[in-house]
Amino acid sequence: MSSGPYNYNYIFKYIIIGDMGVGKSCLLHQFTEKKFMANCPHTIGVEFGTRIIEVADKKIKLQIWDTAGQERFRAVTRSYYRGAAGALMVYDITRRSTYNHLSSWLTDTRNLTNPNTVIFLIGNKSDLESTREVTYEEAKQFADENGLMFAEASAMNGQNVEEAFLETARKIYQNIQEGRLDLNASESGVQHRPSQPGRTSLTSDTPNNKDQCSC
Amino acid sequence: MNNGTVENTPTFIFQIVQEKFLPGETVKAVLHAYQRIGVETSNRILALVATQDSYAVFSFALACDKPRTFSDLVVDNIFPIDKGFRMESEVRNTISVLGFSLSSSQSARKSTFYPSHPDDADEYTSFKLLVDDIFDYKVRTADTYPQAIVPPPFDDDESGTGGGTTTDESGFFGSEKEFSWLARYRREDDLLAIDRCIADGSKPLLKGESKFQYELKKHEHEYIINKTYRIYCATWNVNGQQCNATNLRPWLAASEDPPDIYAIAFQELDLSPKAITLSESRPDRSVIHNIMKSLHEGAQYEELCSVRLVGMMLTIVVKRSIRPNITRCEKQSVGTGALNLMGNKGGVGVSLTLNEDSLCFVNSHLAAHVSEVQRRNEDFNEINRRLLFSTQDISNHDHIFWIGDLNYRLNMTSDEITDYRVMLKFDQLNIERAAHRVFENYYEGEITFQPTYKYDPGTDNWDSSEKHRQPAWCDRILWRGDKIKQIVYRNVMKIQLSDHKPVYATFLADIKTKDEQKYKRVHEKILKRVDKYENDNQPQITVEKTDLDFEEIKFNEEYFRDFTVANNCHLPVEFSFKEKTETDMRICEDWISIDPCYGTLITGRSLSIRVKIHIKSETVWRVIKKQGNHIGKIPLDILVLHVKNGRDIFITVMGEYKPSCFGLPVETLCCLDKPIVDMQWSELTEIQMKSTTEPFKITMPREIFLLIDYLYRVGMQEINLFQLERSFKVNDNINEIRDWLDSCGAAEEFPGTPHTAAEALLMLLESSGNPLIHPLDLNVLNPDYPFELCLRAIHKLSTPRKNVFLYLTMFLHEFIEQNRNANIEVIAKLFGMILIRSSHDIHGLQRKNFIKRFLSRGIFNFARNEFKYS
Ligand SMILES: Nc1nc2c(ncn2[C@@H]2O[C@H](COP(=O)(O)OP(=O)(O)O)[C@@H](O)[C@H]2O)c(=O)[nH]1
Ligand SMILES: [Mg+2]
Repeated sequence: MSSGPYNYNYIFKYIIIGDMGVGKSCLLHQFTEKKFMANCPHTIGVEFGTRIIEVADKKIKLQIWDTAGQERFRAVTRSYYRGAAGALMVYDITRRSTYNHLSSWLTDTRNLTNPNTVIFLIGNKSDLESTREVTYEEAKQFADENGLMFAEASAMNGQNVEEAFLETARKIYQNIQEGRLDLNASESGVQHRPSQPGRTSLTSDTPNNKDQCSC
Repeated sequence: MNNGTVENTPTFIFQIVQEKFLPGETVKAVLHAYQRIGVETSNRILALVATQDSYAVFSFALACDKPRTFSDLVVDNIFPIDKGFRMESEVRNTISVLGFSLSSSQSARKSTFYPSHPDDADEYTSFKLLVDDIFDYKVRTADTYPQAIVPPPFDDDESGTGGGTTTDESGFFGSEKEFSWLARYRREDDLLAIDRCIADGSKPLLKGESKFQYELKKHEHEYIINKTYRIYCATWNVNGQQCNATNLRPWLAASEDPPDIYAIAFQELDLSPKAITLSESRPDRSVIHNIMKSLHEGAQYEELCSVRLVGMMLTIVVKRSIRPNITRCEKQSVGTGALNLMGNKGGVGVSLTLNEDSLCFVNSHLAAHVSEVQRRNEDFNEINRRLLFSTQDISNHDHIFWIGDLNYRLNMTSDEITDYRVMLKFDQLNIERAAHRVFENYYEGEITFQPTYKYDPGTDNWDSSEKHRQPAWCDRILWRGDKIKQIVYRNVMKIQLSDHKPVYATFLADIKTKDEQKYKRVHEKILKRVDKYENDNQPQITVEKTDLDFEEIKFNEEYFRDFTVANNCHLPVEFSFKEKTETDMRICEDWISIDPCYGTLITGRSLSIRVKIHIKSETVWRVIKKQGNHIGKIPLDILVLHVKNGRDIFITVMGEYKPSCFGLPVETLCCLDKPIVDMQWSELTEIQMKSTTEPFKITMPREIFLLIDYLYRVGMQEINLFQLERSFKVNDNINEIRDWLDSCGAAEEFPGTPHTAAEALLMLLESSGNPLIHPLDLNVLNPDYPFELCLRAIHKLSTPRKNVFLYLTMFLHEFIEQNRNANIEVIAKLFGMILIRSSHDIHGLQRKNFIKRFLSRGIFNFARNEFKYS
């Protein structure tokens, strides 16, 4: 039993982008650890987390890059977009400015990723209804116009966090199934691993086939 | 505190092992051993630990070579001494070192160990004796445990339908409570335990995939169950007779329940010399066809594989429904006939994997004749040695069935057939096995049938030929493996075709099987834990600060800032400053340097990194561009500190580049109406923008004028002025001149010397983004180009450029005239390089010659006209 089952069939690379303070790191943490990190330190750089999820019976390892949102790092963080299969673009529903900047984040994403990169727009901090500055409808319309997936979520109470990450993966997987992603291209952001060795197929353990059964 | 000798004493180790345990849990014995993990070996300390009413053997992994405290010991495995406990010496042909294996009901697999000090037989022997004594004592005193030890007990449930029944994990001697104290040592979250070897970099951290495999294996006992399979072994020496028309059903369909696996062995299918010399290896299809017709009718079967060598053939047939559970199947054959080569004697074997266990079936035909006992034993060894499958030999299988015409006879002189039980005492195989000369560790069921050899064909009568062969049990079925139980073992008198009677035996074998549901659960659980493990095991680096504030930065001045990076995590950290983009391979701006720019830190270490800024003539214009019109400090650069397999940290280099005449275009310099030191970048950029349209305040930059004027006054006789080798480039005096120039040098005396003034002039000319002669019509460099037209080209330059050029060349012309040491070649070459720069590759000679044309003749008239003109 030299070759055991692999623990996943695909790796998808994600990036999380958006203005500073919208809750990118908290969303990542909520997704990987199922916890809210109230005193999350500022991201001064790029961090990453992984989690294995299941889509259509396939194990997918998400490799998620959380970037610093400060304007001054913009030029540097751009180099991390390449090869992302999914981009989570986050704004804070309680801060209009973070919503207003979306078009520039979107431009970067479109310019720096491949055309099939799935972009999911997240309106974070949905728990703070009382201080809302951006309506659901408005953001929904923006998402529709730009062909983005969209949900409001809360890294604090976990609402829709799981869904946003998983929906993105499902969409990417669907793109693969429909042949829209070239898995061999490194820009696709997807790596494929052969599925777990089948129970039924007798793969030859030695190159010397003479000794193998013909079964 | 402890010196090496103390640490190594057995009592010291004993002590620290004891410290791992609570009062009442006593370490009775300790054994140094190691395990082989792939090609590596890993040291272990085994400890026999006793509580009031139970015992267990602990295997500790060592965090370092010489454990110094109990925390250097990490529990790797625990073997409770329960009824499934075994400590067995492994004597294998392939491995000379004496190894031993430990297993128990709770550990899914045997673990093999090797004593670290094989020469010190005492440590091993006394440990083993003690363990054996305890086990025996436990067996004797346990009323719940049946008498026989080998083979281990089974549910006596023969009625279970094919496909197997499940047997429970065997229990403990007493209650489970007896072993409850072990739970404390089976920590679930040891996953994240800090390992000193990993921290100091001497052992690599397992990465996701291998960690996953490791964990899966470790938790095997949670999802591996035993499933019972029915196995039917059959052997018949057909004595060269065609058996494809014989009714084989009495031999192959004799069991009540349909078997899951058949292993059907023939010998002497073909006795022809041709078959022997050609080592016939094609399975006999007509025989297989007959087999397939003669199987139990209670299930659907298919042939898995057949292997043949001359007269020997082994056919494995499996129930169609279990076929998908067989994930590997290999066959192999070995001839032990004449020269140990010919295939008239020898063995054929099939190795397969059923669920999680490996099975091996061997059909052998050993040497004939009463006297050849020794030869038969040798054949057995030879087959064991040479029948090798891709990854294992026969003995490595979990279950082994050895069947065939083993040809052992009776050591009896009388041909009186008396009581079989008496005769069996003279059976050579029984005698040889009792003497440990052959089939060591194999079992054979009790023989309750009459000898299978030798009959007059077509009858049940003993051999009536001349030879009057002594009857014997030539045809036998043996097995090896603790989870096999024989149900029947018989011969078939009815089949009279050959001088041998066929033999068969049926078994129940417990095969390790993944419980898919439990497996899925464990799999999920481990996935989650490995996720967490991966996220928690990212190497982390702590940086003292992420902003490096350089405050004010001046041209040609050296600055540095130090900051520490520390490794406070439990893993070694490899860091490096990373190229910022795929197109820009630099890790920082040209005027910044980082030292060191990569390194490795083991846990607890820190390191100081120095970032230097030195803005020189070649790069200053880029800094100016970056500074733009910003007032005050700006992020001059962002360094990406990359941690291998971890996150990237951005380090911002902050600072304000102070305006200076160096690096500014001459046009801008001509528009200034106050000292540069008093100016802001916002003003400067504004002036710079306007300088293309607005009239210049002065005809040429004051700074250039002041330098040339000084040289004209005091430097005309200076020797070695304007050398190609710029030996005054690095000189503090240059920066004093800079400050003097930037404050317009009005009041004070010139702070430099002719040499530093000359160097400052060169630096001033070369530091602007564009060269002085810009834009440049490349034609002018052609030596045949009329000088008139060269003058024309100069005429077309912007006024400040033209004026600087004319003033400079007139000065140099004068200098060459007056100074006896001056060398026109050198000066023309030097200024050619500085004044004419282009993205085009212009030969130095062309540039020199161009300048020389101006220096060698007076252009006074032209210059006077031009100055007037402007
Ligand atoms: N109420 C609320 N606060 C949040 C939520 N997500 C993040 N925050 C807070 O917002 C701040 C910025 O979050 P952080 O993840 O560091 O933002 P980032 O700069 O985008 O990574 C932190 O103080 C968080 O506690 C949320 O869903 N609800
Ligand atoms: Mg963040």
